[in-house]
Amino acid sequence: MYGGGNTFEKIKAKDPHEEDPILLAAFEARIERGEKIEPTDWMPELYRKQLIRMIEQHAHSEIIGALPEGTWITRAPGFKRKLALMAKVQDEVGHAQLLYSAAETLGKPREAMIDDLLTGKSKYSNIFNYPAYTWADSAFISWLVDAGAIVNQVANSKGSYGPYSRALERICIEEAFHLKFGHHCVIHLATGTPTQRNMMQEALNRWWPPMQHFFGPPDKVSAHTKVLMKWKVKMLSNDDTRQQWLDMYVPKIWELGLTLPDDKLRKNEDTGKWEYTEPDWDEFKRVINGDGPCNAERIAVRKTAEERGRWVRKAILNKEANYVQPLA
Amino acid sequence: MIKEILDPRFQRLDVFKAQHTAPTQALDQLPTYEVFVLLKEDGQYQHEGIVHAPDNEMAFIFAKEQYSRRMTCAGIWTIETPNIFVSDYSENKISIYDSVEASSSHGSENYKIFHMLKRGKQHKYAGTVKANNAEHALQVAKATFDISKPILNVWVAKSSDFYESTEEDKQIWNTLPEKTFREAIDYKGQAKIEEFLKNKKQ
Repeated sequence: MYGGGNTFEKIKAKDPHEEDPILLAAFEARIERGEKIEPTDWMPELYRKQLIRMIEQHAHSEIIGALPEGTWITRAPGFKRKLALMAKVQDEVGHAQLLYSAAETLGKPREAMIDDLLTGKSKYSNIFNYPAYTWADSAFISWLVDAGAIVNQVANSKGSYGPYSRALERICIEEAFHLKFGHHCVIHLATGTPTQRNMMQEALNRWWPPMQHFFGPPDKVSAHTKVLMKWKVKMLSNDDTRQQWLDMYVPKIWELGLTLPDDKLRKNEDTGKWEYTEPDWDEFKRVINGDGPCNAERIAVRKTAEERGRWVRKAILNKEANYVQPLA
Repeated sequence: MIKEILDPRFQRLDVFKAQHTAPTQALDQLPTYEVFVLLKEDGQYQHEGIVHAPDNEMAFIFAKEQYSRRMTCAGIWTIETPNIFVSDYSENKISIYDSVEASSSHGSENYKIFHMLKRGKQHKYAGTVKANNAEHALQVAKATFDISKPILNVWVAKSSDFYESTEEDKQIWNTLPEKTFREAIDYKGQAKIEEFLKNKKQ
């Protein structure tokens, strides 16, 4: 589960103009031909660093994203919902592993990525810094946050880096069940008793602002982003992702007689684009920088897992084994 | 910040007491194993990814969870990453075998050969050859396999370095019919929506 969002600010890497022009031309020609880049190929430093950061943040988002829903496993209504939610949360953690592996082929070990998550050096999707108060919040995440992630992941699976594309293809197949399960939960709440309906409506009201933040602020098309789009690292702009999601899911929410807390939200039939009130981007920045309702808790839970699992890792560690970069 | 942690399990754990004594030491990390999966009995083993594990047997257990949890599976092979010999990547339409001399003399050890036919796609198992070393295995492979399509990259590894699932292991994967709750098809909601819309109109 991951939105576009905040990963495209400039990073410190060699400017593409400083790269070997012959190698760079061959690299760009390969992408132009629609071929994928594999781990042992030459690649510009900026490409490598940007991909590491992007895939790593995606992996962290999966692992942290499993927490708000995981909260609801023990209290999910009924055996079947429990089974399904457990399977879904397991999938998300599995996706994190697939993504860590893809990032590792670029040269950053998994342990280093997890350290950076725990020290706050690397980020994860902002939306998981909000709490899931009720079962309806969990249903919202399963359906609509996953839907947002799928829009982004389907686009990114057509990107240029082989291992990331392969991981995403697998992830997208698995996510299909999450989406249908989430929708099923929402349908049952929305068509249920007035209390259930009300619970779903309140969840929608609560999650609307972070859901709008999820896709990231409107894009500034800098030279930097242009290069990343040319290299098929960034596949869709934040606004495109948001528009696609609004187009696919707002009608489905309205169909159920639910409302969304934005008076201006409507599709402009002339432009084919959705109009909406800009969300509070100051809040977005504040929460990303640590001041959200659950930032501290999310990291504390990961630290606890790390601490409590240490003896197991220590016990099975093979001292003679040599860590090398995985192949693909 | 919200005052109370909502998850009762985390309340009990008292998570804010956790002390992460920070960056894990270099190499405080399990090595990686490459995982090959056979999706269907009559298919071909293909590379699916890696797992971190202390040894081959644990690698198999992790691989089973990671790569055969959701889809069908008829077998898994795992091998520690450094045990695989990797050829160069060739450019499209040039086969890596073009620069290899075919050899018809066999050796005494089994080597598994994996081919990549297209960038972005997985390496697939081509077959096993008897050879003296990895380089020789490549030469024998050239004389043995159908290489009419250009092969972009080859992986070679000693069969004895693999952990291979057995016939008996296959029953592990015989659980799909009970797990329809993990399939999208199990969550049909349209009828309920239609009923809801009909009642609303009345």
